Amino acid sequence: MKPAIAIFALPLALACTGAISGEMPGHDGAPAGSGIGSGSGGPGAASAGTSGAGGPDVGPQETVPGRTPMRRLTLTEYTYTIRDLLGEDVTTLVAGFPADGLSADGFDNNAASLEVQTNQLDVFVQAADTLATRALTQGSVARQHLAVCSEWADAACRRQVVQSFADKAWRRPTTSAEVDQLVALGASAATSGDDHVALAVRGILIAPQFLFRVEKLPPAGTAGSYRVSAHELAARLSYFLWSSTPDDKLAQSAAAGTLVTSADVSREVSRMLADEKAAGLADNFAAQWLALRNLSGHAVDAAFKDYTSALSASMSKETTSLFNYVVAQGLPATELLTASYGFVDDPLAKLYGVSVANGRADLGMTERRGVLGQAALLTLTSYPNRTSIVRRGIWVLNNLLCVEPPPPPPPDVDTTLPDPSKGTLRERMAAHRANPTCAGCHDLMDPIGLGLENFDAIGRYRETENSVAIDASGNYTDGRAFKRPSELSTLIAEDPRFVACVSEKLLAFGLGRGLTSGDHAAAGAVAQASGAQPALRDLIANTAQNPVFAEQMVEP
Amino acid sequence: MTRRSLRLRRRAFISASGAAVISLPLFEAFEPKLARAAAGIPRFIGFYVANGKHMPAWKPTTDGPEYALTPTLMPLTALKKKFLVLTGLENKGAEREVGGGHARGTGSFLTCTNIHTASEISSGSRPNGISADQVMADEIGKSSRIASLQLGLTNNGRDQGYGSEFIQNISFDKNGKFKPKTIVASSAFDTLFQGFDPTASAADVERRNKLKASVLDFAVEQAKALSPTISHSDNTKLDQYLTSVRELEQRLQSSGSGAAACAGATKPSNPMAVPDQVKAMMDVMVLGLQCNITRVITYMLGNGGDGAINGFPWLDISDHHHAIAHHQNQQVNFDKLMKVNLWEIQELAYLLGKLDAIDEGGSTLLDNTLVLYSSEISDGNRHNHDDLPVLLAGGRNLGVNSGQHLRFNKTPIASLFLSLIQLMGATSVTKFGDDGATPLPGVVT
Repeated sequence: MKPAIAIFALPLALACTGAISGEMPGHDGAPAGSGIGSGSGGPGAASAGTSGAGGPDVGPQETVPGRTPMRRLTLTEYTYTIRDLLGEDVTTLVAGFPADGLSADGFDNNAASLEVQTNQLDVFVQAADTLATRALTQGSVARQHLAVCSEWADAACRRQVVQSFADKAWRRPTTSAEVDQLVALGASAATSGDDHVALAVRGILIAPQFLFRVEKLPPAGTAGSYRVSAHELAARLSYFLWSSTPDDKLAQSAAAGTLVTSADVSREVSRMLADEKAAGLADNFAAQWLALRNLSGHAVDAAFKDYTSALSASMSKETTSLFNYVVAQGLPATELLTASYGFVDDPLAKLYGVSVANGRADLGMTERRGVLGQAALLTLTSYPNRTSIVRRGIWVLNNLLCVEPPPPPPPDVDTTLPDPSKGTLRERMAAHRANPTCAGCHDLMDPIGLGLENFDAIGRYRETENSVAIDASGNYTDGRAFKRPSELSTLIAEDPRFVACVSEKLLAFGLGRGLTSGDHAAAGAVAQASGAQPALRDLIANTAQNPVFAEQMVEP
Repeated sequence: MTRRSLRLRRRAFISASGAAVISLPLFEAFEPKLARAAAGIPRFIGFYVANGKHMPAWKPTTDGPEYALTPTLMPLTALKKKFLVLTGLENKGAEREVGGGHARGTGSFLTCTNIHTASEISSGSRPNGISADQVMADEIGKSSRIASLQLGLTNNGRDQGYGSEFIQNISFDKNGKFKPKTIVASSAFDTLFQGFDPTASAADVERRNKLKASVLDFAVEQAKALSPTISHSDNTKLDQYLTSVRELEQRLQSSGSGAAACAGATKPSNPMAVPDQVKAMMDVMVLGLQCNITRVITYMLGNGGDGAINGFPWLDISDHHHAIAHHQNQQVNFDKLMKVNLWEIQELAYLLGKLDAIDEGGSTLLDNTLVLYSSEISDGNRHNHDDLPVLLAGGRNLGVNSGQHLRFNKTPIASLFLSLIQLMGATSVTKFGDDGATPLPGVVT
């Protein structure tokens, strides 16, 4: 097979020069925006959202909250919210909706782009109609969710149904004026009691109070930052941990004034993480953090006969399952990198050449440790027909260490790699890594990627390439030597940038906006407050309990 | 109307809706009205393809009406009199000394305005300028039920330093906010034909519309009540919501005519294979224009850079489009790119052929439709935004001087968009983007 040219396997010459050469390796936490990628003064700084900001040794700094804008529910949040409000699965319906964008740090819940354009409102209006119609069927799940009382022909009962649903859907107690308006809307149907309710449900589900997560202005005269209301905090928590609407208990805590103190939040977070809905954190936060969603659009060469869409789904599931397990068991965040076991099904176990019992495989005798030994990451960073050491290196820098990757090389640089049917990728990349103008950037990315070369383009273990032994040894960014993939995983787990990075990613996702300098400091504080080997669960809880999580800024 | 044109149109319509069950009597009953309503109405399709072209196989070496088609353009042989090849056009809006060449090219594809990075936007910069299709939609979109429709093949890809909106979308509103696209043909069909039920009586339809109007009124009432309780910047977002509510109200008022005329068109299935997905969406596009439900459509055949099509099994190419677009002057990559480019033009030919098979009283739907076809870059290795691979198909009945190769030299493509905006009837618009100061010479007869 002829070479597919590596998009990133290119000399990252000009823009990197000076920015990293001899500087970056070994330096923890360059300040946001000053690391690699911003050498050109351009878009590198754009991902200040997660780049840089330091390990646990971030000094004391004032934590000025950024402003968290009103935002539409993401399509995933909408799907989960409808599931929890009405028991209806709208996954298939929503798949046809105009898609959400991803922010520069890879999350779809960034408020900046969550608007309601006409063709989006159109599908929400249609969906509301569909859902309200379902509720008309006696015994339907939707009706059961609505029916706090059953005599919908009775005006008093109808009012109760409408108010109860609006309270939940709008994530706060409705005012009596709002209920009056909903009743009036229902009455414009002027037919049966059922039709009254259905029309009010349609109104509730397209109202801005539902489609947007609204946080109201503080009392006049408030200056600087302030704490959002208890119901608003409840929504922040539920959309962070569940990607869904607050449940009754959370709403009751907010209403009862028991969602105020750090201990209150801690109590609710523990309860929420123990709920099965916490799988939403793995399916949304972890899957976007680790770029797992790229797998669904990933194609591989037909030569990889083992690779099917079912196997691809198994790969994703393995990674999110590990995340869920580490959270549920209270294990250190670094377990994501060091776990010597995997939650694999039979096809994936076969790919790994291991046996599986009760959905779990012991990987202790293999080179697989944590996510870097998982087929999901190894596949999604490969080309259809071969691995890419550069893409793997960039993936680790960007997602695990929050180091902005170097920019692509300038155009028109000859980056041709030799015939891939001979030797190893390390040998083929050697020439341009030897070029000093290329090495500045490649010395940062390549050793990590080379350390994973024992895994092919769909994550199968291999010891040779083209009958030549693979050398996966190298030096980590801090100079420490490793011999094989499992050792590389350990070194990354020991790098303080990893825990700092997880904290940054959690905060960016939790707040749903780009992080300010104050936020970066807060993320550093979260990492610090969580101890030397912080449990992933503690990082999550401390993110939710950090003051910035509940704060809002008065708009200048 | 002649019998011949009637037959032609019916045949076109049947194929347009794939396996559709056509209610012929109803269709025929509405047909003359449709034809009168639609003849000469200008319509627009902005057609985006990702990652440029292999330019040597694209760019004609001869100029004027007698130019020779190049290998990549061969699938358009039968339609040679109905399109213009425009070379040497440049999108300066895409040029900036920062990374993210695919995002810059795609984001400014129809805006000809520099886009801003994620950090710049969070510091308050506008994301983008308004796109040409949205200028058209704002000017003439209200004359159809749906002001504009954004469609495409996939939603993936992101370019360094930028949010994904710039690599996945080409339509941007007057605030520079992206208008997200629909990638499922059956959903696009629903957007066009929702609420139309051939079995419903007029009274039923009126009742349904009345209920929907009540729901939308309620939304306006709630938004107005919310407005004073939220911040200034949150109100900008709420304004966008209110604009959307009002547009839906307008759609409701003008519902019926287009959808009724196209009665019997049934929802497409959602095929798995990429070429089938492309054709299914094109069928929906043709329906939308033919039935005058919308006049402005954008379509993205894949997204730029890593968001492009990953493997072309129907062409026996397993590489990611982005990987071969970085061709490194390797013949093996040129060969693959030429196959991909040829397929892209075959898909365009399918769309143009369908448009041209629909009679609109002496001219065809293609003659009344401006189809702009281009990519976010020119050459995949250089990521250059000059000498873009541009076609302008259709529009003969609107005054396009088609059937030629017009050669330019670093001329702003914004000028072409200004021409198109004016051809769409928005004659009061006299500039567009950062550098569209005058219409492009030679385009209009």
